[in-house]
Amino acid sequence: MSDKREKLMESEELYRTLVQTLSDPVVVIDVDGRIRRANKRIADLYGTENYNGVLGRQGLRFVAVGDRRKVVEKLREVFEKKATAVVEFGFVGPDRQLRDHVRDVEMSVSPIRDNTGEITSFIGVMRDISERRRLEEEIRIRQEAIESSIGAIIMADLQGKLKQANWSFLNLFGYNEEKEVLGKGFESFWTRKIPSNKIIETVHSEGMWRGELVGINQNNGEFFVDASISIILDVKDEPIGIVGFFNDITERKQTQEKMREASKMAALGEFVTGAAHEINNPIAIISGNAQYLLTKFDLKTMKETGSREFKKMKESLEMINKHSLRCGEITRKLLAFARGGEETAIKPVKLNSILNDVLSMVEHQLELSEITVRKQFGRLPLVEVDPSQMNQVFMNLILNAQQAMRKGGKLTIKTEAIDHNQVQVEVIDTGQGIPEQNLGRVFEPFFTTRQPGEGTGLGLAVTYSIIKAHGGDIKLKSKPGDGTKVMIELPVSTEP
Amino acid sequence: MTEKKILIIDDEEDFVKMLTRNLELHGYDVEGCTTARQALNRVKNNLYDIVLVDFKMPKMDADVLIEKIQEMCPACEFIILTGFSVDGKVQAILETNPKVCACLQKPFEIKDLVSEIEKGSRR
Repeated sequence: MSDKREKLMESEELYRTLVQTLSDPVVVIDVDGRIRRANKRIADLYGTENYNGVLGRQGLRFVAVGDRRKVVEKLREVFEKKATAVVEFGFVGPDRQLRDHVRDVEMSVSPIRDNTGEITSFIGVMRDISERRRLEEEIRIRQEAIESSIGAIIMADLQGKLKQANWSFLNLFGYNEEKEVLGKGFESFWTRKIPSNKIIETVHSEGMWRGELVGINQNNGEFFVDASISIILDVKDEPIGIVGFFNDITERKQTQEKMREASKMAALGEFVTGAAHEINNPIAIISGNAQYLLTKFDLKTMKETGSREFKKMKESLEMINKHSLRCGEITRKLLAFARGGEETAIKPVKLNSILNDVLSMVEHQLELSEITVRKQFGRLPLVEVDPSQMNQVFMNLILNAQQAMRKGGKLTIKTEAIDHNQVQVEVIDTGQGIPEQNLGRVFEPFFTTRQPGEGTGLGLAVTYSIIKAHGGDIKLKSKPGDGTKVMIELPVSTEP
Repeated sequence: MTEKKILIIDDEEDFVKMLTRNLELHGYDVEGCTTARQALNRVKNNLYDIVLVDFKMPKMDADVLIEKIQEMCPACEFIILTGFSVDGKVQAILETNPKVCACLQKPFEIKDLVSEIEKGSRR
């Protein structure tokens, strides 16, 4: 008997020592839910050195109210299944005012059975998982931050194969789901202008790469991104991956391009005005003198002598005059081009009637060239333009179309209101078209494909500067052999 | 037809000389000068039917000069000659000053100028 008792005492001692030495907080709860034992570690959770206060108290008292049902159900499960189970809950210390005293706890609960096999109590081994929870939350917030970023962010392995991409990245490149891009290499996303392996090499050797890339989206559309790509190091400073941050700068680049274009045109305009003036005066003197001499010839010499020599002299004078006046014609157009940047006599007008006026002026000419005209005029609101400049614009475009259709063709003039603020005019011909390499240059002053003396190369430059000065836009589409389409957008009058 | 008296004002001497010859050939009584001050002196002492004036003079723009001449000679008519385009400023003068008959862009044909002179002095 005493032997048995001794054994029991011994096992009791062993059990207590075990519980006390465990590095995790341990409680023993009876079937009524009262705490019968606890080890010192419980003090860490309890928040006070003296943890004796827990003994004999209802265990649920230390469970956050919202978690109580969960804990009770778990204990019932352990009781019924007679097996260990794990439950997480908030452990509430004695001072309920102090929120800090709520710790996140993971408790593994096992049943304790007597020698008849009946469950007499439970042992709960707890682990303070507050720190883990905090870290998890921190990671979750960081993930969320990456996901919510407007900038496109990716993470890749050391070879540049994508392991993660945020929503902005998918959106920028036209993908719907992250899995569509995972495993793809950098080269799938950029043009080869800057080879991906060069970028990755730089990231490896210098830790980072910054620059502009031309991205390609799912539909093969190209756009500009500002990229910052850098290496990710682990705690031992070993490279473990690559992180990339991309900003879509297409719009910014386009605006810059437009501004550069506008200031270039303005500077050119100023230069041209000065130059034209400087040229006009001397050529006025040259042509005026030639005209003086010609009149003199007409009045006297020609009557007196009809010799071939005099005819030649007269012809030379005529040439001097004719070609000085031709210079004058060019400078006049240059000045018109420069005037694009000047104040204009803008008033609300009906664009369709301007087009009708211009068409009636060239009707006969078009007929002679065997060009049929199709008018597709939409109902337009008034537009704010300088009517005489607009006349010039459409005259230029129609005459260009005529010259492109030397063997006849069809000229379509289409007008429509695109929205409340803008109207569009399209001048479409079925002529020879413009070779692709010339498309970018057609608005440049003096760019012409015609024979010298046939055109000044200023028509479209003047047109361009006028449209820009009106706050409008002009674009040109052309395919050699198929014809050319000029699209003009103009702002609608704000006056009622 | 009485001989019309014309004054040419342009800072470029050769231009004045060239135009003087041409207009004399067409039977006008022509005088020329190259500064605004000379022009005002001439107007003080002479009576002109028509003044041909360069729009951009070094010390005085044509609009100011025209006004000063008009104070002394209200019957005088004007034709503006310009190396620039007929812009908003010139357009405004043409519209508001009935004595300014025309504006010609340099270079021009003498016969066009003559026809403007004839049109102007007929009014």
